[in-house]
Parts: sequence; structure tokens; C-alpha cells
Amino acid sequence: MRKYSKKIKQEVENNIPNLKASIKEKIDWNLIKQNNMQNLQAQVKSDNSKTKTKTFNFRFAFISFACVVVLCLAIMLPIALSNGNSTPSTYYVTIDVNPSIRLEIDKNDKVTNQYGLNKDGVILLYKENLVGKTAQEATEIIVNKLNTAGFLDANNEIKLYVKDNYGKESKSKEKSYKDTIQQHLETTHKQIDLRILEKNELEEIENFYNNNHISEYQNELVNAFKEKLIEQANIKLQFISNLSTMLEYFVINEDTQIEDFDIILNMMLEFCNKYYISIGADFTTYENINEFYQELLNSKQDLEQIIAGINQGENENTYADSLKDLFELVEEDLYKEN
Amino acid sequence: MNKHRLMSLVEHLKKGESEYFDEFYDLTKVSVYYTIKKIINDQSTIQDIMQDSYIKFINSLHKIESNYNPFSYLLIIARNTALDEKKKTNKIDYIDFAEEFDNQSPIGVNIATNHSYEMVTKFDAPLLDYCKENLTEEEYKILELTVILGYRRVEVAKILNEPKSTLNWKYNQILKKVKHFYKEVYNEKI
Repeated sequence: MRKYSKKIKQEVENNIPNLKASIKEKIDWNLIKQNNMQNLQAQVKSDNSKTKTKTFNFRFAFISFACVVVLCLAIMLPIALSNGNSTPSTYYVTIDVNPSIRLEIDKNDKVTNQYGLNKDGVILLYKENLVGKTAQEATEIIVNKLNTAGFLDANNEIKLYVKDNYGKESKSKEKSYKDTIQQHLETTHKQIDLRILEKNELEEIENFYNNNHISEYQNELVNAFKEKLIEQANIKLQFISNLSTMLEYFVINEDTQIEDFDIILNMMLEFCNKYYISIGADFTTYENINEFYQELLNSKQDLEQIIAGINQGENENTYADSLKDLFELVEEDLYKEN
Repeated sequence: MNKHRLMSLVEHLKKGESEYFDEFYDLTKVSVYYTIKKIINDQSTIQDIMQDSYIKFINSLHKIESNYNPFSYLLIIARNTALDEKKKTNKIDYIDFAEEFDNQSPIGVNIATNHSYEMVTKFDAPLLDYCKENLTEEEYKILELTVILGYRRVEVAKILNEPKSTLNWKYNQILKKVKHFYKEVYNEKI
């Protein structure tokens, strides 16, 4: 089904002109920047004249005690011969937040890989693809996600650490990322302390990651989700198969009497309830039962295609895209909305 | 539509960082285009209005507060710009049409239909057009909101003030129809 909706969207997109270059040319970006700076300065003056009161949005699902939020950028490379002048080609950026995350950054400051350093970190990165973005952008996105998930509040602390592939702390990068985080925290109106991570804290995080095989957890999650999805799809298929078999003789001939119709009717209602299907029809008329039967057959076909697609790895792009597709399948084809 | 990502991009654009505009454009272009298209038919005019809308939006970025949804603001600008253009076009249509006819303009004014502003590439979306002709008004609206404008069904249910389960049922019925339409449209073409 998604093939057809995607086709429609593609048709529309094909008609949309690419105006990026012409729009950008016509804008005075320096003026935009100036206007923004003036606006900010005016705001600062206005804020300073008011009494500041702290207000916080507390959004928590599970945290029952204050958690320490640690943000650290650690850059590590495989040990290589160095004359002290060569620059690293790959940076391993460890972002340890409770959840904990690692990014791999190249020499152009672009993210080349991402993974969680603990299970919460893996979950936090669900549906998020940071590869290709700059480290600054990725940092912003992660801070956003932490904020949305309720991990940032006044009791928390953000710890930041940056080191290069030679194990040397990079104070310049720390300052740059610290500024990014600070700016972003200002837009969220959060009053959170930001400091540099201690080296022993970083070691503890990395040891946990290595000793608990967290790297495999990511793939396990996707595969487990797929299996669950297939299992549920098969359950639905079985239900459809049972129902359609019972209804088949009836729909062929309108005059056929269905024995134990009450039982079948209950099954139909149970099916609609379970899969959140709105019952807009009276199931005692031939026409409505026939229509319901036809819909069952269509659903059966869709589900079989979905299962085949998952098994063939049809939905596999990047890790983030895979999960996004799977979530969509659950919402749109299996359980509708709940 | 990733609201947080859009807000983040807007913060960059406010700083004059034009390199973030491409992504912003890609994320918003379908909605902006479609908003304008509902008011203006002519492709060339739509392009102009799209351009003007984005420029107006960027030039007024400093007025957007950090916690305000920039996407809504952009769509409002697009809609108002399209409406302004529509008003202008309706007023001058008769005058320009008469002048063009008298001067035997090479653009080929069609007297009967007054299509003097449509000598450009037409909107080519056969499946969508077929859907418009063969779906009810409500069904087409749901299709637009979900498939083209990218609203989630939960959001569409709120917009249309319907229960989620009903909306889902309707959505699935619509997609089944679209599947049949697809075969008719593209098989015919083959």
C-alpha cells in the first residue's frame, strides 16, 4: 500500500522546482545575521531588567532520582606511528549521557558512524540518523532528544570531554562544542551546569561498553523488532484466514444460511476491536458482510507482502531508516492506531 | 515533519548560515508548493510565489521567537502571498487579456478560455488527478493531508474532528482505491 502513496508523493515532488540556489542568491545573509544579533541584544537588555525566575518543564517517564547527564566527546584512533605532526583521519566521538552514545567523526568534522554505549543509548538513537551531519549538528540533535525525553532538568549536569586519536585532550574542540550546547540549552530555557568530564569517568563508560557487548545490542534490537512484527502479522493472517473461511460460503450465495451466525458475528467484532477497525456497517446484511469479506482478502494480501518484504530485507537501508520503516508498518498496516 | 529539526535549522538560518537552507527547503517544499497550488494553478506563477515566500520568510526570521513553530509561519506567508497574487491577477486579467488580443500577442491568447497565463509546463500528476476525480471530497482531503502534506493520521483525525479509528478505516479504504487507480492510470499509459 505504501508503494501507491509514495507514488503520489513522488508525482507531486516531480513538479516542484528546485529554487534553492535562486532563493539563496537573492538573500543578504549578512543582513539576516545582523538583524538576528540586534534582536538578541535587545532581548538581553530586556531580560536583564526583569527579575529572573526559574521555571522548569519536568517531563519524566521513568527517572525516579536525579541522574547525572554526562556529555563527553572522546576522540580515539587506532594507535599509529606518529611524528607528532600528522593529523588524525578518524575520530571516535563518545557522547556519554545516561544514556550513552558514541559518534565517529572524520577530519572534516562530519559524523561517519553512531552507536549507543549502553542500552539506553541505543534506544535514544532509535530512528535517528546522524551520519553525514557535522559534529555540531549531531550534538544539537542529541541534546534535543535528551530534552524531549526528559533527561535535562535542573538536577542534571552535562559533562563534556574531547580527545583526539592520540589520546590528547582537545581544549579547542571542547570549547566549540560547549558553546554549541550552551546556545542550545538557552533556546530550551534550561538552567543546567556544563563541565568537563574527568578522565576516569570516561574510562568507566568505555569499559562498560566493552564488557557488556553493547555493540551487538543495536542489531539485536532491530532483528527482535522484525521478528515480533512478523509474529504479529502472522497472528493477524491466521485470524483473517479463519474468518474468511467461515464467511466464504455465505458470500458466494446470498441465500446461503449461516449456521451459528452469532459465533461468526462475534469473531468479526472481535477482529475489528483487536485491530482498531471502525465498524461503520451493520453486519447482518449480505452486502456489508460481503464487503467485509473482500476487505479481509485485501488485508491478507497486504500482510503477505509485508512479511515477504521484511524477510527479504526490503526495509533495510540505514539502521535509522530500518527502524523508521518498521515503526510505520506497525502503525499503518498492523495495528492501525492505538 | 520533524518539528525539532526545522526549529534547529531556523536557528542556523538566523545566524546567516545559508548552507542550512537546502535542507530546510527540502523539508518544507512539498507543503509550501501544495499550499500555493490550492490557490494558484499556473506553474510559473507558483514558482514565483514559492520563491517570494521563502525570501519573505528568511527576511523576517529575526521576528520569529525560538519557541514558535517556523513551519506554520512559512505556510502562512505562502498562503497570503498566493492570495495577494490571485487578487492581483483577477483584477488585471481582463485588461491584459484585451491588450494581448488586440496586439496579437505571440503567447497565443485563447479567447474562449482566457488561459493567457498557462503557457507553461503543466502540473503533471496523473495518479493524483485521477484520485481527485474519483475520490469524494473528504477522501481526497484525507489523502492530501496524509500522503502529500505528511500529517500523521492522529493529527488528521484532530484536524477533521474525527475519532482515530474512523480516520484509520477511511484512510485504508482510500489507499485501496488508490491501488486500483494506480493500475488503471499506469496500465493505460503502457
